Amino acid sequence: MFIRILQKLRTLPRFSYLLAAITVFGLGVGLYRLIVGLGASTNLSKAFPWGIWISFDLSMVALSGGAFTLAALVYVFHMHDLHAATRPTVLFGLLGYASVLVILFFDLGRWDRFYHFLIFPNLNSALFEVSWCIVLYSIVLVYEFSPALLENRGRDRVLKFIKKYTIVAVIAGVTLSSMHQSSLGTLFVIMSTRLHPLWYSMLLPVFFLVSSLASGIALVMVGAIVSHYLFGQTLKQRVIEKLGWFLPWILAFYLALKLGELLLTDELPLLTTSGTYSLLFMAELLVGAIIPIGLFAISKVRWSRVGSLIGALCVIAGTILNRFNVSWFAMQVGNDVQYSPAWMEVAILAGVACGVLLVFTLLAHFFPVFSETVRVKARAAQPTIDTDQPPAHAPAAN
Amino acid sequence: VGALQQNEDGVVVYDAARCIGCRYCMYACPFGVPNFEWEQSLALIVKCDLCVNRVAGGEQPACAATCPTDAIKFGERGAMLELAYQRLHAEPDKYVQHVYGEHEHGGTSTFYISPVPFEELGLPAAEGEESPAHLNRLVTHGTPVVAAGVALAMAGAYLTIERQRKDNAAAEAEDVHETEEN
Repeated sequence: MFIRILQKLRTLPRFSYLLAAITVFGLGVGLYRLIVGLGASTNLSKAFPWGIWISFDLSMVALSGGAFTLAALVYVFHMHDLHAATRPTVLFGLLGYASVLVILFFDLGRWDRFYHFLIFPNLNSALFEVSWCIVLYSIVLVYEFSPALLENRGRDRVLKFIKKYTIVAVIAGVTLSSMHQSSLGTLFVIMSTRLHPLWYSMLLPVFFLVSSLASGIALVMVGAIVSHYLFGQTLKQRVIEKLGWFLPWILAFYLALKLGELLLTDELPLLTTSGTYSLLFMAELLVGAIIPIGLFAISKVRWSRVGSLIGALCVIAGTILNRFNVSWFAMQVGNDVQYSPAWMEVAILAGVACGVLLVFTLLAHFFPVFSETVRVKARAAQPTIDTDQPPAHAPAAN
Repeated sequence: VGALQQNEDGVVVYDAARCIGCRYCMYACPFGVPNFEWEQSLALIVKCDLCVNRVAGGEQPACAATCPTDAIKFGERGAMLELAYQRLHAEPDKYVQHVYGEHEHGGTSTFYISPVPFEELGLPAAEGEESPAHLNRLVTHGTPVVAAGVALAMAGAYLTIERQRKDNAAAEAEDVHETEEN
């Protein structure tokens, strides 16, 4: 048994070992941080109590938004030809949230009491809402992903039961997601005195929600195209084109909201007068919205793999820059205090991120994660693998 | 987690047994009052609670009780405000003519008077009289309503589309049936 597992492990792609090494190192540094405290291991300070970890958490949650966006499109709006992407996306979402929870654990002063937010509610706190939603939604994601673990393992009755109630889980998941995606924006509503007015707005929750929709879709596209090169498995370009079609609409709405808010609050002049802040803000909107809107409006780009990849990466980069701006670069503190992460903060972050990628690789290796996607290399020989049909476990409506 | 609560006297008190050290309060407070035990492995927030235990026993907070020059005074908010203005008016050339904390962000429980500009003391110039916590509460309290709305809309969309599909499927089945008969 043990030997068989070892043999199977040997078939893993090479980069898994590199991932494992970084993970072990990062978690080792993490252990050290838990023992010595945050002062000795990070560059966090009274002026900058939150750093790169929180920026990472915000970005990761936004990217994991692909899971709920896709679940809504497939199950609620019955776009079944997108179904082939759900498993990899849900798994990415699940692992994304797992990494956020692990990083949050390292971020807590009293990490030994991490469960306190569950038993001591404060309904006024956006952070209370966020943490509850993330935990509940992680459970939903486990539920949505469980069929991949149970399939072909003689658990057919459990499987049938799970699939029957998938739609309930999906609706719960979409609700929880839209709540905490927006609540992450709400976190910063209380920081009116700290956050630069270009970013500060009562509409922050809406900004966060809409941008998570766009970056979630973009991530599905990137995932599909990258796995094409890594694993030789991918979605059909027709499906990727369909996803790309949504982006200009969502992004245009986002852009209109952002600029409209500045117009209404008379903050539009800040676009040119705030120096570095103006540059960061413009860069964020240019890369994250304006360029991809232009790209994805062109049908030729949507049909091209490289074009879609570039456009989707722009959306993701823009969203990540936005989250870093809101939680770090645009935080104003007196006396010109600056924060840049200590090497240990980066090491822990890299360790957790690589750990997540490693788990993804392992699961994709041993379980049918990509079972519905097209095997590019085998395609010529076996065109029948194509999954144009709605897959078997779409909600049994017919 | 509700480790920080405002008691009936208006003092924001800290329950160290609840705190998880997330440091969100440090961002929430516009005056930068809460601090953090950066050097502890199991670190907590540190904050002045105006010696609630001493006050409950009828005593002055330790700082006010020991201050040799009466620079720190403790008492009811109204009385303290009056005292602050008394001192301002007594020496108008010495003091900046402003009681910091009377209106800042809705008014605070601690006042400062100073001979140098307040910014130099590290006290932020507060523009609005509104408390950021108030804005925050508007949003957090609206959340459950929005959540219910999203759940209902999703369920509604699902059921509507589902019914349409069934109708279409039924209609199609009939079409097929008819063509077969012909």
